[in-house]
Amino acid sequence: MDIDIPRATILRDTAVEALAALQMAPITHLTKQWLPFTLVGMGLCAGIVATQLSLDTTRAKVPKLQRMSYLPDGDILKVAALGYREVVADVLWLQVIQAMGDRRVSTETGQWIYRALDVVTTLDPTFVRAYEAGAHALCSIVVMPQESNRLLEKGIRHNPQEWRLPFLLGINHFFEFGDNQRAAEAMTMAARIPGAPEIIARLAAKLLVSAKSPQQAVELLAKVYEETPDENVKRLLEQRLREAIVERDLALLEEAIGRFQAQHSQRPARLEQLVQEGLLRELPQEPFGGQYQYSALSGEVKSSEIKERMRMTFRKRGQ
Amino acid sequence: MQCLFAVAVNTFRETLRDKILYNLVLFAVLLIGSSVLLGTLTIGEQARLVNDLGLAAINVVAVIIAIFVGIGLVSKEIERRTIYTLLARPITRAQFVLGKYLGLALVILVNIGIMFAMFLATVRLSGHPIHASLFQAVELMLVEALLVMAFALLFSTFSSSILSATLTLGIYVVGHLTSDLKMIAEKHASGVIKSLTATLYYVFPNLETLNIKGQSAAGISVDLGFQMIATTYGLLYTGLLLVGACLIFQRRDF
Repeated sequence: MDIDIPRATILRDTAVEALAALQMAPITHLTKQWLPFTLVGMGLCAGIVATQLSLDTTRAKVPKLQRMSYLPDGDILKVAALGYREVVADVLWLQVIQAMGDRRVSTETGQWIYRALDVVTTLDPTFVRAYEAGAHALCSIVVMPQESNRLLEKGIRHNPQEWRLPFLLGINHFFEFGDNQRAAEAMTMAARIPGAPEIIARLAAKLLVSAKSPQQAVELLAKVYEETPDENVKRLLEQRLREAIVERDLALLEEAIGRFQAQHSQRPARLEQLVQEGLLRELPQEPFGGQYQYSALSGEVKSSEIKERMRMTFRKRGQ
Repeated sequence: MQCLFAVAVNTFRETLRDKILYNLVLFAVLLIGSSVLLGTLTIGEQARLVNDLGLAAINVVAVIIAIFVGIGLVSKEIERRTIYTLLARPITRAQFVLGKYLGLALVILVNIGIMFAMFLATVRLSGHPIHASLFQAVELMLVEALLVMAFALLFSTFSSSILSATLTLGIYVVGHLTSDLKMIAEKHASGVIKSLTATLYYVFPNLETLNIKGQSAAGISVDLGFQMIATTYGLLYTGLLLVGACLIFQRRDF
């Protein structure tokens, strides 16, 4: 080979030779046939990837749950799912819990969580976990206790055998609304459902006392006491039952003292006066074996055996 | 009787040679993959997800086989002109139709059986309890598939494949909506519409009664009496459709 031949010429010649070799090779025919298709195919692939990526960036601007704004009503979806309701509910549920896991959840997202969960539970009303997790989420990652309660009430309607739902409702009423009466009602409902742990009955009793319904607390505890086979639990319940009886008696006595005071413009000197005046049929027995002590000076009644009164205390959100 | 079984066995073999069992691979991948993947995504309720997905997958695959293989049973023989050699033999047309049906029914039975076994294995391996209600759900799914297949066969005795597929799919959709139809009928004031929807309700198959997936995935068994009646209903309806298919096929010219 001549050294003076310029590099370009060498390159060109090599290329020509290579092409010639290719043409001679048995795969030439195939290459000719496949090359255009391969090129077009690769071009299309690149196009698909590019459009997909651009779609992703556009869609990423819309929060995950906001896309559910086009989600049809639960009742309509129920019909449209053609017997595959549970699977549709499951898929939707998975989407909702992914959205719940986002770092920041706005009130608007909270609204969508509620809506999506409402649809999920309409599709499958027995999806207890959806009610439960939803109720928790709507009171923790966003503050929407009303929606949380609505979800729970729907769950209770469809699943009366689940004690967790009224239990959570009670928790919501107590902590979010500070409504002892409603909290006590919900807890009582939970405590009466078979399978509920006995601690709920004790909690409910405490709430009932706080809500000024000690008689109901006594009745509830007595019922749960009857139904519990476990001796240890029975002992715990008995303790709480006696405390509830003390509360009921104290409430009774205080009320009678109040009436006495209204009639005589002064407090009774002794508790026995209440019976003499016909305000009470008899003085209640202290269930722990002690007695009710009365101080005419302050008008206060208390049990000789109990130091602390049965009350629920808490701090409301933001206080 | 012998002729009938000969047709049935041949249909069974022919369908298997069409690689119909490949769908089982798809099913296995779908079921196991989704159970493992989705199970990690959810909070609790993994058992429920596995059950829901598994039962739905079995149902979908069974119905798809019933429709898309069912519509080809008779029309394929006609297109390939093999029907002439078949009917030239000492075999009645009714035997031919029923044999075809039985063959495919066997295919579906085997398919559902294998899918159900895989499903139970998945449930077991993922550490969830196997409820008796799952067996009930699958039994009713089989009845549903048999019913849908009878529709596909009936349509394919007098129309083209595409039309039969469309009609059968339509029946499947309507069959799941009839209970809503009844609800509409009850709410409507007009007497004509009321009686019309009521008629439609009783004419179309009520596939929703054969659907207990949700309940059984939760582990709640249905009453055995209900199960018996639902099965009987499905089989009676299937029988009626097969009688219709035989009748139409008797009078058909090729």
